[in-house]
Amino acid sequence: MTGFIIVINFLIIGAVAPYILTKPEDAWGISYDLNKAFLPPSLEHPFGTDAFGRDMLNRVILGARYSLIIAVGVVSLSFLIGVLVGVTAGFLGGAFGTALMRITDMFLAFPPLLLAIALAATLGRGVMTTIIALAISWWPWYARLLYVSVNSVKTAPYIEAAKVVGVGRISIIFRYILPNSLVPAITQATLDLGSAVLEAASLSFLGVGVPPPIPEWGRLISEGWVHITKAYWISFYPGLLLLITVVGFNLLGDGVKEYMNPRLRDLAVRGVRRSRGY
Amino acid sequence: MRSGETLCIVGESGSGKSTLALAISMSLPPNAVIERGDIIYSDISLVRSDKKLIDKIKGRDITMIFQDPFATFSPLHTIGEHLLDIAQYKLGIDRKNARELVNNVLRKVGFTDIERVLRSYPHEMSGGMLQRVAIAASLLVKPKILVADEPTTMLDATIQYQIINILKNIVDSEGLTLILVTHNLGIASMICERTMVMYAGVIVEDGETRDIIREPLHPYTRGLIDSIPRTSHYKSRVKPIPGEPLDPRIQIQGCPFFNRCPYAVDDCLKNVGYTIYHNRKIYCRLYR
Amino acid sequence: MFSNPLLRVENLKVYFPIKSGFFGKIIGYVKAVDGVSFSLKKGEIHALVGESGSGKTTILKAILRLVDPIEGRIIFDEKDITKMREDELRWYRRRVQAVFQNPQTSLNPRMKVKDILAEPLKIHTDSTYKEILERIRELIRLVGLPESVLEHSPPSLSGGQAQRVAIARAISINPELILLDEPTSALDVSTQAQILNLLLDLKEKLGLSYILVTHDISVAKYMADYISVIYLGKIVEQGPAAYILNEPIHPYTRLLLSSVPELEKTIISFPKIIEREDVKEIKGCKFSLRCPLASDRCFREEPPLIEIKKEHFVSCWQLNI
Repeated sequence: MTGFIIVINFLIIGAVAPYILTKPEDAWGISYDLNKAFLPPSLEHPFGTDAFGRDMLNRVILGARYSLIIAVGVVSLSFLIGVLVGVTAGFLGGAFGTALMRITDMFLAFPPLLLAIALAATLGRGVMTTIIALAISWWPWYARLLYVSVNSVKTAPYIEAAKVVGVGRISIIFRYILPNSLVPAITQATLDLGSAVLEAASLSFLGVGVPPPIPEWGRLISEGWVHITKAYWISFYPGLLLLITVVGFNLLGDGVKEYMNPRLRDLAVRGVRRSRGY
Repeated sequence: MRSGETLCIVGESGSGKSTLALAISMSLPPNAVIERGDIIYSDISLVRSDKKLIDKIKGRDITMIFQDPFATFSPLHTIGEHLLDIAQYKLGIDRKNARELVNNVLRKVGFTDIERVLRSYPHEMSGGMLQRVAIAASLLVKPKILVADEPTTMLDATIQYQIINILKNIVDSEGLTLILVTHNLGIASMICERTMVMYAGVIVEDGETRDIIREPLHPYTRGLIDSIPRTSHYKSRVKPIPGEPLDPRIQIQGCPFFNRCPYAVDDCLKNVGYTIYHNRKIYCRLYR
Repeated sequence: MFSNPLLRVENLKVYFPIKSGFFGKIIGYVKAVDGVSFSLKKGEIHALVGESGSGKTTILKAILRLVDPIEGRIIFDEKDITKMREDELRWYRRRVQAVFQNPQTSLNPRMKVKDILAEPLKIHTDSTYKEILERIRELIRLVGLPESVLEHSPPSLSGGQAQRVAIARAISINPELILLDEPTSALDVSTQAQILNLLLDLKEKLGLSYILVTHDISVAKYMADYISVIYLGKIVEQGPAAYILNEPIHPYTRLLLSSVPELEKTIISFPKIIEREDVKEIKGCKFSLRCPLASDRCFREEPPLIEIKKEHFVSCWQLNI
């Protein structure tokens, strides 16, 4: 629940960010005022200002939107690709499935960082590039997860029971196999949102992900790094919010994991016990 | 319990029988808390003793056999390695001298081709054979009390019978004190002089096995016996207890069997306690 | 007496290939079911009794066409269903249903009970939405559950409740034959008694026939009209329940019956069993490895099933002992 609240807050901030900025020019990095550079946190600048005199609070707020877009983008894209590949391999099975999985394994060998650099070099740095780079290195995990999932669901007794009832193949795929196979993947995806934010930030920190002046948190941390001793706030506040967001996503992920499991047991057991029937 | 007594703890799921067995053999999981009461072995309080003393008793004076023989043994080691390990680490005998001891206990549980057994890995043996090895492993340390938690539930009927017989013979010949947990009253009548019936964490009836089966006094015990099919349904129908065994997570006031008992009255929710009736301990107001 | 049997199984053989190596070369077969025959009359309860590895569950799966037999025939209501494809079996599914051992794993954990019960109705009948709803309510009542379970899904039900749902699903489309694979093995003793009685009541009310697979002799004793004792893929003895239980002939049957821990001990004598570890593959009777009566012939030749008295069949060379 806590995770949910945290995440919802960030989503809202991210969504309305452009509209609540008090100093949009600062956030977008369009203007600068060297006179105001390196101002420590104050009432007027709660998060201080950076090397270009830009208000950090504004930058961080706008950064929320980017971090979230990237996180959701990466997870969604890799989930989609992974599901497609994993489920196909799982269904078709046999030699074809194994072959598909070996191809998946090859993608696992791509070091995300190198891939990101290579893509940045060809496609230019940006939000889209970051998302694509990360998604390419992430989807194999989902594919594997789904492959194993589908295989174990395929042999579950309730599938045989469904055949005995006379359920058609299509129904079995969409009402039985898919919903049950997707559960572990969905819980993993929710947990991964936090990691995605972190990885995107890492890439930006290293200068590969999002280019300046976009105030993605990783980028902000990177920009403030050199000034860490005399103006800690430039890196500190983006880092702090990054921490809170990731924790929030992780808690949310845990919550989803619990929800998906037979926790609802208690309700039925308690309710039905009332009657002294059969 | 007296020395040499054979006791069966009988109950369904959620009765607490396995937990009780684990407590006695000091194998409770780390998240278990002993709220009250004590387990006293030979004048030593097991609940209050320090780890050093418990380690001396656990696995030596009191040993345990578990339900799943394949989970009892590490799949990576041969039976020989297991048994020699026990001799070495629990008894302090070096492996060369331990061979004779190990061969001895394996013979006691009915193995003839000892060499082959020693060389085998757990997955190369059947469930019944492994359970016999488990019994042999317990015998190595010459325990005073043997606790067995549903040792035959996972085995086939014919093997089950064989194992229970072997267990019975060993308990008799070695003079062991046996605590056997089971859901099967038939097994209880085969091997135990005394039976305790448990329901929702409470001992509801405690007495001589023969008497309990012939004349069950507690309504739950009666219900349990009436539930066991003994003849064709054409001749007589079983009379099941209505409802389902109590979920141990639900807190109850008074007698836990209240909502399924044909003799329940309001008083049962308040005034319950043990009475001794005809040499039997019963947890029910009916016998006060 | 002369009515046609509802189901006939003739010389059923189900073999599973053992594959080895990178290319999956077949190096042998597991003969799960090796020549099983029996027939079931309408309104009868036939118990297939055996221990693990006997092949009893595989027989059920073959009858349900979940596995394909390598030999033999399965004839339901005079129609040979052995080789029918799935699309040809639709009518069969309406008349033959099943209840499996573990209710938690035989019900789709992501479906609500009401959907689980509605599904067979939607597939096999063209009832309206209202009719289906009514029927679901009726089914829930028939199996002794409160209507509140309809909104739950299987993981939140107890074992007994879930098994009742599975039974409700099986009877929903008014089948004639229900196959039960150890329906009470995963349940507590008191719940088991409830479910067995429920099955008996439903049989009377709805005119059902059952094939019941069990390893528990007392369940067979309670439920069965007819019993087939199965050992390693073959029927060693079969006949009316009273014969098998009171006058067992085959050594394995006698061993099985004497192994049951009874509350009041009825002694069925059986000489001590042996475990011969030397002989590996036998061409003869599968039980000879453990049989104290085994002779040379038993190791070499498989005994045929002989009718020693009316409807009582035994497969053993040592019948005169």
